[in-house]
Amino acid sequence: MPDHIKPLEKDSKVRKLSGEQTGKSLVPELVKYLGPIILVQLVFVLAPLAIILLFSLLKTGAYGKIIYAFTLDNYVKLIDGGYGMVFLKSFFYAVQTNFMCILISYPLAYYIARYGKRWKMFFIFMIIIPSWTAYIVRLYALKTLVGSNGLINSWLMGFGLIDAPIQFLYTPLAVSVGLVYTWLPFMVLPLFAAMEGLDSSMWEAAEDLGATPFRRFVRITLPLTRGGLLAGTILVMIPALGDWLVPHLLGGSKVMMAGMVVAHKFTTTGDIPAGSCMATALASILLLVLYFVIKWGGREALEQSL
Amino acid sequence: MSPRIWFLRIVSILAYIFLWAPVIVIIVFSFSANKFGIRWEGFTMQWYYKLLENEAVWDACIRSLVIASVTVVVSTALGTLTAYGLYKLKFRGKMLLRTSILLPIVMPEVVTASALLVFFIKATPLTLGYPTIIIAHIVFSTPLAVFVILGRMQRVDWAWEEAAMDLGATRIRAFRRVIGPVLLPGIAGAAALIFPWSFDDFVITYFVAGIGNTTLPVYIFSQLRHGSSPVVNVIGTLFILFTLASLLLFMLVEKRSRAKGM
Amino acid sequence: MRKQAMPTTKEPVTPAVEIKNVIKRFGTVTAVDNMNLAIKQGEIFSLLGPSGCGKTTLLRMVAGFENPDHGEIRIQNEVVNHIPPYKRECNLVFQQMALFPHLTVAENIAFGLRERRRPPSEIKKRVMGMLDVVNLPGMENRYPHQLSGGQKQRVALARAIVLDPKVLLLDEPLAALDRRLRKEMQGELRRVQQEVGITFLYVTHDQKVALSLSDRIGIMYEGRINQVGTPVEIYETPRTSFVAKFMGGCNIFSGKAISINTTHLEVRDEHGLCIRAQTSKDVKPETVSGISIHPEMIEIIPGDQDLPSSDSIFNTIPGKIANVSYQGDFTELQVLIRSTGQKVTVHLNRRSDNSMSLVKGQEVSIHWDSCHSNLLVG
Repeated sequence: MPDHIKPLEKDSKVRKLSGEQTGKSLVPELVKYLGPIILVQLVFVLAPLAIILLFSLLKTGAYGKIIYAFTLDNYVKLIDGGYGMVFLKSFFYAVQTNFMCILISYPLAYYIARYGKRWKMFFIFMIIIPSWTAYIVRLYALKTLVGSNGLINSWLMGFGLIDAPIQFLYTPLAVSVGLVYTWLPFMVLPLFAAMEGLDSSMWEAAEDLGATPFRRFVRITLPLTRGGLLAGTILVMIPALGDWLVPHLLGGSKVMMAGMVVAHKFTTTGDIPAGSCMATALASILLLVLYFVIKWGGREALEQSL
Repeated sequence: MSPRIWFLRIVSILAYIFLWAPVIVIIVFSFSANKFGIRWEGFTMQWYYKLLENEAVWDACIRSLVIASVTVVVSTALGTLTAYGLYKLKFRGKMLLRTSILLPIVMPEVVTASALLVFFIKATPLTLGYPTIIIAHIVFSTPLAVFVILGRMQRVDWAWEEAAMDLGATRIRAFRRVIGPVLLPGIAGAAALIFPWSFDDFVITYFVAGIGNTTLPVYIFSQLRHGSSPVVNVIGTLFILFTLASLLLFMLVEKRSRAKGM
Repeated sequence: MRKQAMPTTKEPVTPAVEIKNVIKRFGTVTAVDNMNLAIKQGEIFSLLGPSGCGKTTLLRMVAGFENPDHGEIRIQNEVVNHIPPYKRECNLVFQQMALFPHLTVAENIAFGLRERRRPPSEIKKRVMGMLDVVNLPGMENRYPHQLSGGQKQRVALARAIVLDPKVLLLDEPLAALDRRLRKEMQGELRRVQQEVGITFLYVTHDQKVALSLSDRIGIMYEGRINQVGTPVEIYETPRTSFVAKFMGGCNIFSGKAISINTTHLEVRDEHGLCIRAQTSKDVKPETVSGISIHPEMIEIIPGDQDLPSSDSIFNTIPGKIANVSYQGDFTELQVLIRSTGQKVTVHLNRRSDNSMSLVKGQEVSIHWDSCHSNLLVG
């Protein structure tokens, strides 16, 4: 917040006007402004999550009827039925995606922040546009490019470099690339925002004091962009873990990820308890990851990124 | 110093190519005469014309528009109210509320989609269709509105509200006549971001739409079984242009309000 | 800390920094235009000039953040043109201080030492020693955001000095401080420099700071050096009209000069006024472009008093007081020279006989010894 704009908490007379009080008189204010959102949150966010938790404990009987008796069957099947591996693999894909995004985003964000000058906003804009375009359109576009009939293959064959189309799609590589492709902008933007806040004289001072480029990165850039790194990790790892479309469109049935499993249970087999179980398991893993990431990052980094 | 800048430049250029190449390809191919939309075979606008005749696409498009419009209105209204409350009021559990508002955006879509699906079928009398889709969209769009508007609020000088109230206006009227107009760019900005976000949504919509309620993204998905197609190229191109327009609008609103010193 | 003995003999000593024929262009703008400068070991040298004159560019070239398009920069006789900043033996104190916010004061100061892989015991000792030198005992565990402006500046200074550079470069370090703090810090800077004996190259646009701090000053304008000299030389005998104007307050009479005799010459300015100045064999009258005279060197002779006989060593010009302004420690008068319409500024201090009784409109003569006339060239 700019210095001259102060929150009104400081002046007690003004505090009365702004409603910043504790105690009973606060409640009507709370209700008036935050009531609606709290209601929405309770009914449409928390209740549904509670419900799938509930349903994950039920069972599907013959003909798809649901038996209302509590059982942990679904969870057992989860671990036994090889889904455990799928979830584990999804976790590794997410970590890999996160890592690749960090690797690419740091140089990119640093370049724009430090050397972008007047073009900064334009550069950022050029990153936001593809990321804000419909996810499904982007993946379709990627498929067009790398499919067997796709552009790259037809060019390579056209130039006589290969005889038969290279199978890019429906491989783990395609899924990895697709994940990075989808989520890269969400790492670049927070990192850029964090770097923007740094004064370039800080890097010059470090250089003057004897730090080589690598050391400058380790001792200055990295610690000071922690908030951005944290925000980026949250925005990349969590969605990547539960991604459905990338493995579905680019991996086919060859590459299974957690998101696919959940979707499959609901859309194809219509097995609500089983699907709920998968969804709950996935959600729990996500919350766990979120917890650890925030713990590692520290509270101020979280404040920074919000 | 030079080799290092070149390294940064090359990585950046490659990154941009990586992000944009697929997009540019389908834009180009939407004009290609090739029947499958996978090769360049001469310039043509025929697919664009064909699109105009395609009933299914129109249906889906209109459905998406309606949903997005309703979503924008409700989300921004709800978002403004919430942002106001979050900004002004101090209470225990504020952090908790903020985090839970963030939840729908951070959670992967399959999770929120599944939760909402089960909730709708099993816990409400609603049938899957417009109401459920709209509710779902509002759920994941409102957080976006909240944070955009919250960000704007930090740039507002609240002394104006105080001055208005000192001059006799009630809080609501102060809002309407003084703060509201100042926040308007923020609200407009949020709208400019939410509209494409809702219009483009696939996963959640797919889950809660039920039978026959196809939105445009769902239509694209169904077409994907048939591999590439020039019609999809066209739709894709239009999506991209649409997003571009919305983002430009957003930037314009931001720039103008910044110029006015708000 | 290392103490440097000032050379007392007249043998040639290697200059700490040498700038030879350096040119630096940015697009169509020439920031530094064929500069030549030699800075002596152990001195405080100020580069003084208005914004945009190229002084910061020159400083950054010495530090290594810019490379000259032409010419050589030597530090202790070693050509450093293409050596990156982190390998040069000089350090820069930034205007914005640029302290690392995530490190404590001690860690900030220790930064360069850690980069040099010095052992922790040595680092600790040197950092503590430095804190004493800059007068910040006990602050080692504070963070930059907990420090005042003056304290931050001292940490920035300590951080650079602890590395024992051959030259310390300072980029207007006092500009961000308020006036009172600035005076205090000036004293600190001088004291520290005397204690550690490192050569200082100080860039500023503030004449007062340069005058009080420096051993020598170099006035820069539009990428070129106008004059180099001690503060006394620069102030009392500015060589060009730019320097005279920049150092403030001078009355300047521009015009051509003609010799009167072997010791004096006369300058006739564009209004026809003749001013006499003392000269010497070395000065060629055709190079003189004018004369400057400081306001405090001019006497006022009230109109009713007898004028001294007109001889060649005094300048006496009749005029009328146009304005009187009491400034406390001195009174400023604007005297209008009737024959030419020029206004001359005169400062009378409290000890002068006339200062109390002069009024606006009074007829007076301004009067000074021609030995106080300062010749301007170019």
